[in-house]
Amino acid sequence: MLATYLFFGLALLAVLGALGLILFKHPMNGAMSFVVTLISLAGLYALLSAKLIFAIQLIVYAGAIMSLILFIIMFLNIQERDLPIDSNRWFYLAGGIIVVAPIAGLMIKIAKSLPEEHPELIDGFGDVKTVGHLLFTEWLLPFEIVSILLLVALVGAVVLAGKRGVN
Amino acid sequence: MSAELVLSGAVFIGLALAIPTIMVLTAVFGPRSGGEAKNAPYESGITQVVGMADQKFSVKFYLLAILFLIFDIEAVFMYPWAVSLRELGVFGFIEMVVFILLLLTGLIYILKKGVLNWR
Amino acid sequence: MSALDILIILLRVAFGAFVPLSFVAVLVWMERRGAAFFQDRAGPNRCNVYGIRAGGLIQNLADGIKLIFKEDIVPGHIQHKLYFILAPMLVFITALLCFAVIPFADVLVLGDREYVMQAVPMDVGILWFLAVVGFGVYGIILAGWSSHNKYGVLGGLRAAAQVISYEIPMGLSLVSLLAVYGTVDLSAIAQYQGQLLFGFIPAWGFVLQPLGVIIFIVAAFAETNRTPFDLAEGESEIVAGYHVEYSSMKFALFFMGEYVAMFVSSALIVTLYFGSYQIPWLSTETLVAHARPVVILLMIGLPVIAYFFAGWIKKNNRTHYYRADDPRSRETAIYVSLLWSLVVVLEVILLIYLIFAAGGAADRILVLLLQIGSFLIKTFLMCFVYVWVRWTLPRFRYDQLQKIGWEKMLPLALLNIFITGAIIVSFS
Repeated sequence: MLATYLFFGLALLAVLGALGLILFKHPMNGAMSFVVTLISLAGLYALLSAKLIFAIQLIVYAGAIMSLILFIIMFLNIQERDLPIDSNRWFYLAGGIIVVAPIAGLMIKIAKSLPEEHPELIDGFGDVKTVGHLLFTEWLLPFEIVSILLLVALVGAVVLAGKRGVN
Repeated sequence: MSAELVLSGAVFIGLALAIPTIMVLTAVFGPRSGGEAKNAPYESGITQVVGMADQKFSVKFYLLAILFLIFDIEAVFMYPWAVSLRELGVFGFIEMVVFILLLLTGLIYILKKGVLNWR
Repeated sequence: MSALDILIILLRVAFGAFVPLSFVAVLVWMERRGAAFFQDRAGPNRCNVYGIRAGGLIQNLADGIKLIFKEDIVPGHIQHKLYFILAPMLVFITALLCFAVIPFADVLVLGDREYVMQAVPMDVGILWFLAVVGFGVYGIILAGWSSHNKYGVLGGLRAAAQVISYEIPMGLSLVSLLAVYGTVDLSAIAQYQGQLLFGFIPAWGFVLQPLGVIIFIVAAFAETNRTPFDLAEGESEIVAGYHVEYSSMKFALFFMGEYVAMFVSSALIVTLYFGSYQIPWLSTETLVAHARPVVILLMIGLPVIAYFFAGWIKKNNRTHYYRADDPRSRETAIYVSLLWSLVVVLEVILLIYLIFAAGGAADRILVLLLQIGSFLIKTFLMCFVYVWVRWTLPRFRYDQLQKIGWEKMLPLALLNIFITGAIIVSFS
């Protein structure tokens, strides 16, 4: 019962934050409302007993990625007058809704086809240890590919920044 | 999610949010006065403000933030590994050595490129 | 949930929220008196209430009241007032939330119920700490950015860059520690440190991770923006950094947030590397099993400590020249009588315990209190190390700071992971 109320509260916050992200004009307002979304998502993961995912959501998404974005907003020092006048905002918004609508329909279909009864959680579900064991035995190849992906991202960032002259 | 966890979490977060409201105390007790100098950016006593605070900064800060993001993701991958290292054994160790070597290659590349030379 | 459950939950949360807060006063006092001690002067010692100066602690009270009665200025050039007000609150809240997962005593067993002695009994432990520390950057960035002041922006930028740079070595030094303990739950980590290594060395983190402890402590200093890493508020260059536009209680919140962060990171260092609440060589089981001898030892020890403490007060707290009706002697007399009445009260409580309550739940609660004491003493000493370092080392230059973080600490942390992993794998 408690879990249901928490779910609705967090889901509402997540949706409001996401709306704020697309509707606010100033990038700082958008970023801060996105933080709300990310933290509510972490709360939803916690409700599903996915403890490691909860922590990773907070550390990587709400922590690292958002501080990267805030950092950029800060050092670019974007002020109200720097922002482009986008008169087509509502047009883009409508276009976005049309593109996303089929996906949303699919999601609703999936949610409706979910079984009614709650499956029993296996022992240690979502624990750091259990996930670690699975990740490093069954999902080994994706893990190593991720490391190469990160390396590529790192080199790419340096090269792109270097074009404008790092020094 | 046990009721114990929810209750203590809610009370603790509530307290943490409530304590900063002592800020309101100054609004009640503090004096109020206007003044042109008080409404200008603080410049160590110079009332004629020189320049504004809206210049752009070096791209290096941006690179630093990207590096932080990438290494943070790598560190996050290491926590589950560290916790289950005893069960994973030698094989798990070798996996992480490969991972760390790739990481180290990236780090050496950055250092050789002089990204972190602040001059 | 029974009434006892709710009572213990509330007590735990109250401990987790109010102990860091009351330690702010102690730490500010320690910082000032410590600075005075290192610079061979007296430090603040004049503020008093009816002649009682409490060794300078009254000065904090005076400062707090002063900050409340200051003018609360929000300069007119600030466009984003919401973020300007939110920033100090965020700094404070994130610092306090970190303490939620730190255990301050062993699991309390009452009847058939077990109570984990953390403010919030989460088993993600150290990951929660890392997540919330990451949020601390928001407060700094928002403060610097919304101040819209040259010094503020520079200070915020520097502080944010420094905090995110040192989060990496901190996280990586934790990896090898987690590999040793095999868990992320701080309560389990604390219990692990109650063991003995080879039968006689306490298995504390700094014995198991000699390199990791150095990396972690240095990173923790940088995370809390303390000297030698306090160039975010380098007075000589950028005035006060990101809190240059803040005044009155908003500034006080930054200030309190900084000291809460210092307390929490000391508590975390103690939890991870210095045996948490464990009293060396005396595990929880030993203490519970031998509660009576421990109490008798305490009853003998308390008056002895009080005697020497009273002697120390009498020796130091007096006017060093002739003064008619010396107010300091009067103050000393009050302190000494307070001290002895405290000792008498404690002795009576312990005596009542010995006669009526020994055995069962009372033993557990006694051990709990002893462990809380041990935890607070260790944390206090670690905070003193912070003050000690502050008044001993000069400030780094910005490029030196980044160089140490990325070129020295990061490879060292990776090396530490490699060595630790190799040892664990070859022994298991």
